[in-house]
Amino acid sequence: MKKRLAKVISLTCAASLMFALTACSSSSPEQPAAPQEQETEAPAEQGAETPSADTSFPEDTVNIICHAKEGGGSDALARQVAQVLQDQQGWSVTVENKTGGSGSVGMQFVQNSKPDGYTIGTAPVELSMIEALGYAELNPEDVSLLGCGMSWPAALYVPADAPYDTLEDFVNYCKENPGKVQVANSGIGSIWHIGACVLADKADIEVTHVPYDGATGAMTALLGKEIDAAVVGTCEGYSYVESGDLKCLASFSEERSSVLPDVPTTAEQGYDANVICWVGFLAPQGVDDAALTVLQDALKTAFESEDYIAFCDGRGCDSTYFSPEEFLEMAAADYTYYSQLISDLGIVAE
Amino acid sequence: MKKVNGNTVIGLIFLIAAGITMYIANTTLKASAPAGDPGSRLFPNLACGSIMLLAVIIIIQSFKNPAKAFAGILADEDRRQSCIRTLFILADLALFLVLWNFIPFLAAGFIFMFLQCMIFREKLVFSILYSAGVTGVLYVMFAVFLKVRLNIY
Amino acid sequence: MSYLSAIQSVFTPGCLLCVLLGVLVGMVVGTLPGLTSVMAISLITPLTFKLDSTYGFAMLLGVYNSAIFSGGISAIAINTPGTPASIATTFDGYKISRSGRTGFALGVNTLYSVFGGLFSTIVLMAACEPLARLALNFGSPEYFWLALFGLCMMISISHTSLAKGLIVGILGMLLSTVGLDPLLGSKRFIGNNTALLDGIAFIPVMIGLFGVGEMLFQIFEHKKEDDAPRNIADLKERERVLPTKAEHKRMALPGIIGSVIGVIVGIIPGTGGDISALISWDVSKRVSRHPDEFGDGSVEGLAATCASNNASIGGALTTALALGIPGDGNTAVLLGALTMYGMVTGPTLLNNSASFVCRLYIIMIVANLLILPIGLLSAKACIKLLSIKNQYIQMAVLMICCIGAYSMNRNFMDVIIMFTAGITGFFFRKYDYPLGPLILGLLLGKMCETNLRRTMMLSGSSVKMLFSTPISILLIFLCLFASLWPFVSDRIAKKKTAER
Repeated sequence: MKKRLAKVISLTCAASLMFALTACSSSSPEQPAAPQEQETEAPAEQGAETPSADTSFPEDTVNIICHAKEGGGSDALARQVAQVLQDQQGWSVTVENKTGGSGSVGMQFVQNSKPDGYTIGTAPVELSMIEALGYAELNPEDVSLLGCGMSWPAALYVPADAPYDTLEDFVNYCKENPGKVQVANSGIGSIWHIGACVLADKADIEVTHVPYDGATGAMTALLGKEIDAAVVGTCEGYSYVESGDLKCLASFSEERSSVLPDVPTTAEQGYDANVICWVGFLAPQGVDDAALTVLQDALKTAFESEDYIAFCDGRGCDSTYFSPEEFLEMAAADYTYYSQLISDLGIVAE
Repeated sequence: MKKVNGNTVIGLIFLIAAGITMYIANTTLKASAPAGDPGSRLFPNLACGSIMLLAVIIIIQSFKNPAKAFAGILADEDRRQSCIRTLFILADLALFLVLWNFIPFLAAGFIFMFLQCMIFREKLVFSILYSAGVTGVLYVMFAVFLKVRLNIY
Repeated sequence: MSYLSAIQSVFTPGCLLCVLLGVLVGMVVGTLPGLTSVMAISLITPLTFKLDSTYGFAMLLGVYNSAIFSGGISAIAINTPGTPASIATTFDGYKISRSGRTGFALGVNTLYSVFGGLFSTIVLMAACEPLARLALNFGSPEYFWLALFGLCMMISISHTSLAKGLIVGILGMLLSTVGLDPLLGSKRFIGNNTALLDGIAFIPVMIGLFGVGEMLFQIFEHKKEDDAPRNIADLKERERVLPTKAEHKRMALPGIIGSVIGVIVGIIPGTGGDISALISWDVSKRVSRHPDEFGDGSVEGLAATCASNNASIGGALTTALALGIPGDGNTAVLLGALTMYGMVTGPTLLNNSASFVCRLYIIMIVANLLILPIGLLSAKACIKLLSIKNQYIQMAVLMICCIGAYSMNRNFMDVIIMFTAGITGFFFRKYDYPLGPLILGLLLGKMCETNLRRTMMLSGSSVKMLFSTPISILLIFLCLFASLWPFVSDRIAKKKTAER
């Protein structure tokens, strides 16, 4: 009885909240009204396309567990995807943040949750690293991956007045002054720390890695010239290149980055150092195939929607879609490579 | 027993706890970083050392002016009552935290509030209404409005 | 000229409605302990994408300003800071509230929060870019000294016994070392517990120490005569919300000090309202004519902290807008929202989106002006709400604390931490151990350690770098002054009384 009452109360409240929100968005004038109408037309078509005829999934709210705290790129991604899923599929989707241990807390939570498809989570590149780092027993094979739609490569930034203009100059400078050059990264054991290590490894140079508090901390230190260079993501520093504060010597990918089209890649400059940060989605193992397919297809549609692509462009990220199989392949390859690297370089926590 | 001073006890707890922590720090943490900079151990060690030093000072001070005796709190009836009440509330709180893991939040919260009302000797009808009211309002606020899932089990 | 058109586009019914909605949402979230302003803003952000960018940002800034302001409401009313930025507000605010002047304390909170917010907006408008560039001079050594300066406050905050204050403060610093070592990545004191990898969460400790600890203490110290109705002369004082002229005169200087410090600390990336409010409280105490009232219900201390945490908003926005560096979670979400509106954040933003930035300034002012009436009205409502029997409040607060600690990260470990902190807080309260230093140590311990060790790393294990820049030297002098002044002023005071 009491539960029922609670349900009624909660439903009325939810309804009134929805009403308030729609009222608020419709009260705003001309501009936003137009795209909204287009949006409502689009999902009707897509809804018919999705092969959800034989299954009734989802009947309840889908909960996305985000591994990162509010304010970061992964959190924005999770919320954006939730929004697109709501608009396109008409699902009810919530986002919840469970942070800690480079994402291990959130991912382990998803791994251990009931495999009914209603709990899914974000799968950051750390999925391939946390086992080697010793944070948690979890690798890409332990979960079922749903697809990935956001990635961006590492990039090497130096101050605009630095005495080197190409990666080769930089490497030569490092060789002349072994151990003198200090390279900032976004924290010990973070993907950009690995990125800097990969570069040092492939170019056979000796640099001092200095961990900062996230990519922001590393960028601040570089802008303040406390440090000689920084390895962070392309999207985290390209605006400083545009403003002339920094220059970027290389992006660590096979193709040139869309936000830094003038910057050559590491491959172009003769180093095979590809370090890419990706954020995809995962579900616990054992979700039944019908629900899994619905989720995968829904995410694929979401990743290919205009709203989502605009979101990635705005942040300077690459919105290339990786199907679950491609995603697993990429994650597994990274897992093998990073595990080897982390134990070789001795970044193993005790 | 009556002569044991509360501050002495707390000082001793500090001293022992800091000693144990220092031992753990020295056995599990690295003394220095690869490049020779101070390692993980430095700060915990410094902190433990200063805590032990200060704990000794506090213990000495507590001998000098023995302010509140530990057993003194149970002297009069009023104090004894509120002391028992605090213990009950704490037990209720602990019970709530355990229950929360096994039954839905609304039920656990209601039981917690209701027992509190009982501890405070409220009237039965009022207790039920107040407990249901507080639990319900908080549930709506957090779970419905802000979409925080409050059920753990 | 651009301001004129900005005003025109902000003062439309739709935009004002958005700010109002934002302010109301922010107020609810800010008041509830455990739910921070960051959470509120990121909850709202995806909804605002459907709106025009000005409307969306109006809502977000409304939430931001009002969540920081309303964190003070729960700090004053139930001794549980709603957001970390209002920790320092509990020192004096709750004491004033306990003396029966809840309405007055809430009124001061509203007035001075708005004052701080407006002050920082003006600074933001006047000197956004140059100030942000100055902030870049803040490197690892400077952060270390700043953290140390904050830690020096332990001395002035522990008014009962220096040894007790210091031991609690160092305990806080020790707790801040739990988790992953920030520079080496090794685990400290946690075994294989994944939930503690990031260390002991700050908010549950705060809720436990202040909220649960205080409530348990009140239940323990309960006396029959507390329940007796208060006399009528008291009642008028209880209903009063606005300060008198004389009180305003006392609060003006601390308010300005709080605002200035709030802006400065806000500009420095990585530090925000929590640290600025603590430092402002300390500085105001030092310049005050009644330093002994601080921590015991001083209106000056209250005004300083309230002004300071809201002033840090403008400061944080300075670096966020001028350089694209988010100083904290709040500005990180805001910058994320800006990119969604199609703007490129970073040093180019101020020039490329000048008209939008102008509108943003106006929205800041509007949001603060809207907080004023809403805050004062809510103060009136709060008096009514708090006039029920103490035990009803105590019961409900215990419950709110549990939910608050849990809902922050939906991690049961946080609730256990809160529970432990609550019991610890009770004993500390009982035996006169001040709680402020513990929070201070937990807040600044990691910043102090990380930056010291990073400086050593950067300079090849030498300490020379710590003394190499003018800002460092200035901060060192401030540290020395802060740690020695309490003893000197004691001496002077003793001499004066001796002369008399």
